[in-house]
Amino acid sequence: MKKFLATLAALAMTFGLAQDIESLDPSGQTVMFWHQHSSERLAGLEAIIDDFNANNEWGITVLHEYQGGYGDIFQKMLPILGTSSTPNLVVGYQNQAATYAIGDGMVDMTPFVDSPTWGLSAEEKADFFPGFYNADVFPSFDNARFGFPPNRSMEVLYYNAEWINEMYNAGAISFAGAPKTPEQFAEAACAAVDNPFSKSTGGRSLGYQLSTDASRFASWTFAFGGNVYDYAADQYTYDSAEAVEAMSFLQGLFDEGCADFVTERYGDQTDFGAGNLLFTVGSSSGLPFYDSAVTDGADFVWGVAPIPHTTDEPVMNIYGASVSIPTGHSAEANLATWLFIKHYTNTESQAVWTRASNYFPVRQSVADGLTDYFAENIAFQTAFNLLPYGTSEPPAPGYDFVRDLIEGEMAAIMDGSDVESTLALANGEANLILADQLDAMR
Amino acid sequence: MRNLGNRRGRTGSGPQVGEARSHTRVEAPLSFRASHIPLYLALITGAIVSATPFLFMMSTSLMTLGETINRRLLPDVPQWANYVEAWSNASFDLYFRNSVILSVVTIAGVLITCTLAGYAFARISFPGRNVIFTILLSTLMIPGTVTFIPQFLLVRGDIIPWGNWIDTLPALTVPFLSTAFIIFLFRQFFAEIPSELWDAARLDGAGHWRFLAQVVLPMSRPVLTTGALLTFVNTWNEFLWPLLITYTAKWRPLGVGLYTFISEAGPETHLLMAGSVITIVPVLIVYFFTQKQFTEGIATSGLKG
Repeated sequence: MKKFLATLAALAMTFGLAQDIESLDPSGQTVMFWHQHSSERLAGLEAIIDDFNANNEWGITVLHEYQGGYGDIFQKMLPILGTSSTPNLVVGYQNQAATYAIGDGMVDMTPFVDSPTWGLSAEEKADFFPGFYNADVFPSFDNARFGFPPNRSMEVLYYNAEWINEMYNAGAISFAGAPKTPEQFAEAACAAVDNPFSKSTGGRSLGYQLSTDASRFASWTFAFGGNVYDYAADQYTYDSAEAVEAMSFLQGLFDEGCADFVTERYGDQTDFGAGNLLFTVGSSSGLPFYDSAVTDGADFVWGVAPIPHTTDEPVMNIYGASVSIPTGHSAEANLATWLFIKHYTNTESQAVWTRASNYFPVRQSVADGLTDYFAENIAFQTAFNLLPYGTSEPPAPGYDFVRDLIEGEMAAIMDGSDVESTLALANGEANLILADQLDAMR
Repeated sequence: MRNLGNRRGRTGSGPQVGEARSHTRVEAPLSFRASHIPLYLALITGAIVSATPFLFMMSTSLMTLGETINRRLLPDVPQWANYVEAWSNASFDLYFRNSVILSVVTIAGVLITCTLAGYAFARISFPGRNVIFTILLSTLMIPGTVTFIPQFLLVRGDIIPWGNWIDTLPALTVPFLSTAFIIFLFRQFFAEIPSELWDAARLDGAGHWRFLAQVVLPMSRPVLTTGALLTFVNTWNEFLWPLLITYTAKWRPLGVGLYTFISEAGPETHLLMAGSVITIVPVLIVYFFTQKQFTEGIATSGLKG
């Protein structure tokens, strides 16, 4: 009997909540959106916002403000969580949203998404790339949705196609085209040192520059068949056999003189464009910058490819900030914010956003309207076609702090530290950070 | 009321501050000697090192994006449109206006508070003066970023409940209306003023306020200019604090405007440099017109009595 009554109460509450959302009136609400966009992306975002403000049937007005980078926004949000000083909508990575949620600073969007009146239909939900759509659902928080994806990008291998062909034709390497395996990657990177590119504008010839970044760590670990997080056990796995193998592989390149650190911000872009660097690994959102670097640099044929992998299929690190609704505002304001999110992620807006931002759209149907864009941006299309192979870094609370930790350990490894022991220590520390965060939840 | 400053010539008790400078003997220019070569080489090297970043900034501001990524020394074709783009892309007109307002308010505040504090430390004996001055000087050792959190709590009204100043003009100016360094600078200069002037002023029935207003301030133009210039440069270049406590563009200064040229995917270095030139030009103009007083202010505030 007790169980029956409890179930009845739960159903009543759910129905009650659902009814509340259905009866809300978002008319006349003002939505403040905090973001990190500037230049062309800002222009694209403003076009989307202006369109919504002009055409939405509820008289909702969206305002927006640039707030610095992701880290700046994160620092600004922490002291004002749960207050009315927060914006109605904020960009943030999944791990940042998890940290906000620990402080009860996030609105669960699930009722909005599933609402019969305001939500997405089954067809609309199916239109989203599954990996993107599910990335903001947090198992640690009872599968609450604390974000929604407006865009994504991917870690890709940038390679100098002309240089590889030169070395292949000269017999310096055994393959043509982009390397598919780590062995081919190492072969070409080391050959590049002794076989400078004919169009190089000057400078040291090198195979690969590594930026000590947790996303690079994750990308290479994925490519070696591993992961940096065990979702079943809720633990980091930076000391897994695959992570050790990946870092040992990179350390070997450093030891052979085939790879070096990125010593200057975007220095790898610069050296790649100058024809001094055969490979880099970076975000697909950097494609326009690489294009400019090459066009005004050594001007050669280049491309993007999956990161060389030991797995049967490529494993691509897909990331990107989502947009989240902070607590501290009325239900009507939250609904108005959700309605803007729907507009931001609809097919038409996504086409505008993709062209302005060079991010990937989050809906599969958008690709149909990007034929001309793909024709003008072959590298973008190549990367887009790799989306089915995507995976992502952990949306764990405190991941920002773990990222800082991993950057330091990567640098130590490439400087010669023992890979296994360094990663074992790092993993222990990462899990301590995670434990602190999870304790704060309880 | 008699001008207390005219008393200077009658005391006969030694050289006065103004008189000492006018009697400086002008020496003949140095003739070139071989032994000067290392000195000149060092100075030339220093000049090149100092000028190179500025020249790099000017050159890069006229390049295309590709030229900046490829680290060219000079642009093929000067891109003057970069300045127009930088100005319009980053709301530079608003940020420029804000920087001017913040600078004027902060300079006024610093000159008032630091003049009074410097004078008190230099000319008024009160219990604990030296201890307080030492504590004040010790705050120069504290890095600015360490004070951000308490400052943030202060302007948000968490410590003193005077209201939430976030994203307002007071938040950007009040924490900076007095600085230990400028107090120290003023104190050093005011301490050099001969005590005979104070004695003469007392004889005329003047107190500290009148002495400060009618004697000290008129002869303190160099150090006041120095204090104003240093405050202007610091305020004009502010970045981190305004980024942290402004939520809208309403009061953001130029430093924050420049930040928008650095995105997650790559830098628009050419626009960043164009924006930097726009930002630095007012500082150069102000310094050009005040450099004589600036040099004099620094020099005389360091002289021993």
